[in-house]
Amino acid sequence: MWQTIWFIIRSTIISSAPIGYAALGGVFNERSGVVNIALEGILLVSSFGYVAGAFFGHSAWWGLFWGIMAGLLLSLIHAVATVTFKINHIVSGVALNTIAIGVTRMLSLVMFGQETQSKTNSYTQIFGMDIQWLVALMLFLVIAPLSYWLLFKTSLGLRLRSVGENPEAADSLGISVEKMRYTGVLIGGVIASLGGIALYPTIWQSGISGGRGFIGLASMILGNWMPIRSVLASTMFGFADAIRLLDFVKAYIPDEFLTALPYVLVLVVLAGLIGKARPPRADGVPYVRGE
Amino acid sequence: MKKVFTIITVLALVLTLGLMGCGQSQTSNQNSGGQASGEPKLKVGVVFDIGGRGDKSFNDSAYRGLVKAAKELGGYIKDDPDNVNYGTNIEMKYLEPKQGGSDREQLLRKLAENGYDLVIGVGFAFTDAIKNVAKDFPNVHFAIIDSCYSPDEHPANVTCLLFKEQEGSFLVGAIAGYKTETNKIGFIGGMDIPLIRKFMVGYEAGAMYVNPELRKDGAIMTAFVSDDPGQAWNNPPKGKEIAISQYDQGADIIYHAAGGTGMGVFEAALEKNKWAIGVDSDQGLILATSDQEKDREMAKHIITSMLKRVDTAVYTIIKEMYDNGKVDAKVMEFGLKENGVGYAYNDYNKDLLDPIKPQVDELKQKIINGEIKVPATDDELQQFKASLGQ
Repeated sequence: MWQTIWFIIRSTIISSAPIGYAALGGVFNERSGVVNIALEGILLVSSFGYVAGAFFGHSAWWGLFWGIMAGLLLSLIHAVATVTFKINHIVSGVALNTIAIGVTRMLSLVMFGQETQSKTNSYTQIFGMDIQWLVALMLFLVIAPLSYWLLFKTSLGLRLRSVGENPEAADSLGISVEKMRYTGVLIGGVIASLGGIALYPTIWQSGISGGRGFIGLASMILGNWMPIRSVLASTMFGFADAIRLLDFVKAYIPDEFLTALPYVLVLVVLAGLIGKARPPRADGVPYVRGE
Repeated sequence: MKKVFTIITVLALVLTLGLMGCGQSQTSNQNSGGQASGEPKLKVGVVFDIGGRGDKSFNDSAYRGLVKAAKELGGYIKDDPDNVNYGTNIEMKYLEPKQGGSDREQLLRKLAENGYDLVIGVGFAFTDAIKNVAKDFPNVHFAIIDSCYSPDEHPANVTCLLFKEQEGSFLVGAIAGYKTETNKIGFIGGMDIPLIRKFMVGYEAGAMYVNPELRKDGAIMTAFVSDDPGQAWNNPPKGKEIAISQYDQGADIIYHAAGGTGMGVFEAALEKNKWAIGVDSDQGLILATSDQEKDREMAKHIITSMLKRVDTAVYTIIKEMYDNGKVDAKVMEFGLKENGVGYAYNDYNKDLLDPIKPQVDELKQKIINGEIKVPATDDELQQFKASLGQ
């Protein structure tokens, strides 16, 4: 009995961490007014960055460093494209997702001699703890509350949200819209990278992100662009994944129903039946001064 | 400001492209250095399935078939990081589809257009692609692994290479049946498709045959990773979670038929200190001889593997093409009798298997003789179970 409960809790945390990190990364992006569908690509490159960094650096710390650097780099490209060059946010995101697939496969071929998967990485411990578990737990205990505090209790958060809601007004008050949006995209990128690290530190495979970045975006919408609610929304997906593995659940509830349930909920929320999904007003709108 | 950015971006692009160019020219130099002069007598092209080279499983088994052909018949593998080169009789080349696998048909077409005489599609996902391409290249011979066509639709230049996975799975199921201490075992398949059901059904039948406790409802736990091919075969995080759920619910041995996802199953076995059974390749041996410590740790928890000799099939078809200059539109089936499937017995697991090896080999003989008819579908399994009694 206790073992089953513990399994559900542990498995929910592990399975929802990558989704939750992606959702939280999305919140920072979109609160500053940048739509980022490259979260999927960030999960992919950061999981590759972790495995390659730890494998060649012989330490989980190098894995952490390179995992975050990889995600940060992809976010930086997105920020340059969307904020500085005002490219359509979706187009840039699609391009980056494609680039992420290609670049990781090319690097895998160069570094590991095989294109579709890395070699097994033995360095998955930090402070004697499993890094996947540690990073996953951090999301709920540290990163999510910290994000809430940063967005809603600090002046930086206020500025960040203001450029996502009304960039003209923020600009007239002397807040640099571009700087704030860069900040939002890069903080979001670092957070989403942690999701890639929590995904699977032992091995990288092409396609290992498996759409979790997009599910993260769905969680963000389900959480109405609020940090803690988005993370909680992501646990729905993890929870559904965890309980559908249990025999006594399988006996009573059809598997397909459990798999579909979180997605149905997203649709219900989007349709306005429960609560109301309200994105930041200037979300996805490039800001050009004086227009 | 904007200008500076533009210049930097352009410079960065030029640099990246330049670097990529260097990388490419380097590899092509290497290969032209490795090849002796002279035109190959036969050119064989292979397209792997998602998972690709290095999956320590299905595709790696196909790759070993190429290496064997190179060794025995004197050939080389073009653009191969390991520089397999034993002569110039046969040129072999493999390609890997991109993530999601939408370009399978293009890759087959590319090989056929570039003068490859025999083109092999490794995996059931090539069913439609091979049919379409074979129609357009009547002079090129094709082979497909794990799939075939109804007789009236079977193209004249395609050979089907099929396996009786249920027979090999029966043997590893019997090993699980003998070895389980909790009288609960598990199975994890990549996708719920008839091909993977053959693995599952054979495994269940073997386990039930030798261990009456496993005939009870719920004694064999089964799960599939995903209904989405993009998430079924390369999803070790999920494989690990499913395996942990089965171990937590009492299973002490889990057999996986899920390609790259299986790495997660092995990791779960290591963490939970339980047993796992590998698939397609001798995964225990591959991991035990790896240069990575974690691989060797995981290998200690692999009791055996169901061998699916894709390498034998690939080698057989290449040899036939090499000897005869053509292959016929036929169906070749590889079962226990043809040594096309089996169970892994190596230096690392022999202490574990030796006490039960005579019984398992006896079962093998019975299947070859036809005394045991191994079920391949759920209906057949129900009949099989009924014939065993409770």
